[in-house]
Amino acid sequence: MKIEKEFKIINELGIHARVAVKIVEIANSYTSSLLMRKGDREVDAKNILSILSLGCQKGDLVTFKANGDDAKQLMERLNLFFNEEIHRIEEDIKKGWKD
Amino acid sequence: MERLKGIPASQGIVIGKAHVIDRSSIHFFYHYLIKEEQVKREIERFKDAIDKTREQIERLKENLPENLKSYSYILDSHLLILKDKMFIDAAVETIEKDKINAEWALSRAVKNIEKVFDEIKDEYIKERYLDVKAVADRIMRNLSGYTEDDLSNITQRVIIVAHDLSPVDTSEMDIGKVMGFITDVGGKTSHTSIMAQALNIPAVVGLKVATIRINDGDLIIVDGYSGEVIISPDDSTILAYQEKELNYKIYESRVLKESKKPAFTLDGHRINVMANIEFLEEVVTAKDYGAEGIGLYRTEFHYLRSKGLPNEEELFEDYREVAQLIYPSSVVIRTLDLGGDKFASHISFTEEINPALGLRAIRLCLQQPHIFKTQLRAILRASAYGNIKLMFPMISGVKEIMGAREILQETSQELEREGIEYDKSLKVGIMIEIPSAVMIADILARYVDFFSIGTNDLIQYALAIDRINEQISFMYQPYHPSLIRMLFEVVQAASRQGIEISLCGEMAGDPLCIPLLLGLGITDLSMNPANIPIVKSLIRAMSMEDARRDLENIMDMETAEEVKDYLYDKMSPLLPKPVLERLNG
Repeated sequence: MKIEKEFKIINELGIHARVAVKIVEIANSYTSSLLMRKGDREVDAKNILSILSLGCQKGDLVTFKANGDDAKQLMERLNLFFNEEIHRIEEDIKKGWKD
Repeated sequence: MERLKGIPASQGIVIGKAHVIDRSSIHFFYHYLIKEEQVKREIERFKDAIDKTREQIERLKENLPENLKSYSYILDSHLLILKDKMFIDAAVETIEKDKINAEWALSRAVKNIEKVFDEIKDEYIKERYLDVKAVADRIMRNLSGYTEDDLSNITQRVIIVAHDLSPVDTSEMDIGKVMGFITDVGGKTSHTSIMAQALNIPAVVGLKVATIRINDGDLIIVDGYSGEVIISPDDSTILAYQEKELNYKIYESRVLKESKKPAFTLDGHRINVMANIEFLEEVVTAKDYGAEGIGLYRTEFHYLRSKGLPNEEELFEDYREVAQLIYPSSVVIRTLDLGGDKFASHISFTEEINPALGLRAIRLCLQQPHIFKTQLRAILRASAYGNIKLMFPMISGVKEIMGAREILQETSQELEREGIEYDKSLKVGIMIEIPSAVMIADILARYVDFFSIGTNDLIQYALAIDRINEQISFMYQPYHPSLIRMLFEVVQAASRQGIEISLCGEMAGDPLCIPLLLGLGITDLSMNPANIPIVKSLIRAMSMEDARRDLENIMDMETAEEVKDYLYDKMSPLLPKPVLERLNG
């Protein structure tokens, strides 16, 4: 199954290292392939440097393309991540900076 | 003896042996071509180095000290970089295709990644290239058979001298053996500075040439107050610094001990010294520092989290607790002072080019009355349990006060109908932080019970300076004559109308500003809790009469520099050297 979904990057720091680590972890726990596109560049989302190299900032639109048996589950997982978990990561970072 | 000057990053003085972390030597390695039959072996060698690197990082992760646990994601990202196709697979391919040795292939792969990251506009993400470098350095060390692990091998107590330190580097150290940190690069907010402060270890950063001038084993003095580093000091210098540190410690404990008592000037005027806080938990620390009330309770915290908007009940509990903890003193609760961008996920919002001048604070609250009402209800309900004052931020004119008051009245009536108790004589005030509010302070004073001057924003708006912008932040000047005149006008307007006035910007905690503020007649000051002890000690050493004369002199001055020099001359006899150095830095 092929699924495509667009996400808006809403967190302050964009897709930084901590977020990228999480995306790769998620991508690797499913068998489907996962591509990530910003503008005219499309990269393998199982690869951390490729993700970082897109330089996604707050407000950017990125499209994920999952292809495989568990594509639907993978996309649902990503949905949860971008809508909720990403904020927690950011809060942790901010706390770290404050301390 | 040689002196270097850097940026003070974490306070305190240490004297000890330097431990220089020099990674530059590793970068001299040979580039050579290999023969077809060597390719397989070369790839093996490269993969062995990677495996070894992975094991090292995994071990580091397991042994991460508790206070650095939040940095473990950096190690996770390093582990992923070790598996990265753009990086590792690319290097292997180059060994195969171009028949070059592993070191050469690795450095080429790093260069290619550098090129890609160079095109990224976002500075923060761009910096992630440094993680690739860190991983590559480690692989390189393993390839070259360079086994000595600099950081974990520290056996005696030393001062770490490095070009730069990452949290990972720090995690490798036995922190108990580290007396201080100094680095060539970095600023007040760099990782090294934040870590050193968290670990309570003196540090100086941005020394540029520390790793060049200092040799391993050199005796050095690190002065985390002034940002000075002295290499091979003579005996009298060592003694002088030991004395300096001791004196400061004595000074600190003395002012802290007296801080619980109220502060009177020499001629008997009581000055109220209060604290600015952001979290409920800070109330206790504020009291420990000697705060006589909370002059500013920032309420943004509850709105910055991910779960959606806070509900009335949790806000009420929080406000009630603050009010009870600080009782019988008062707490000034400032309503939401956020821009829409900060909680975009909960309300609709369009992107703004200039958020500082955009839809935020009271403007947002008046446009989204349901959000505002929830907070007002919580504050009103909590007002039955202590001494609460209500304050609206970012007021630019009368209409906003009327709008806010109208919603406040509706809310009070609701509570009334529901039979819920609240303080019916709740004092309502506004922040004076927009130049327009200064100009019409006499009018605004008719509509409120008190003013609180927020100098941080007022300076920014009055001088048109974004203090975060490093290129112009030097122009952010609390001593600017225009600002002093503004403060003067606001105080006059408040006193003519007979309303209370306080000041809650960073200026209130700036030792140099105390005579200025007293001279203006501002007797309620609210500041960062840690500044309270020193401010109280200064108040006790000054007279109101002197301060008024100082103000007269200052009002005639033409530049911020002139004002600052005058205040510095006036205050320096009352302040210990480390504080003066910080004020000059």
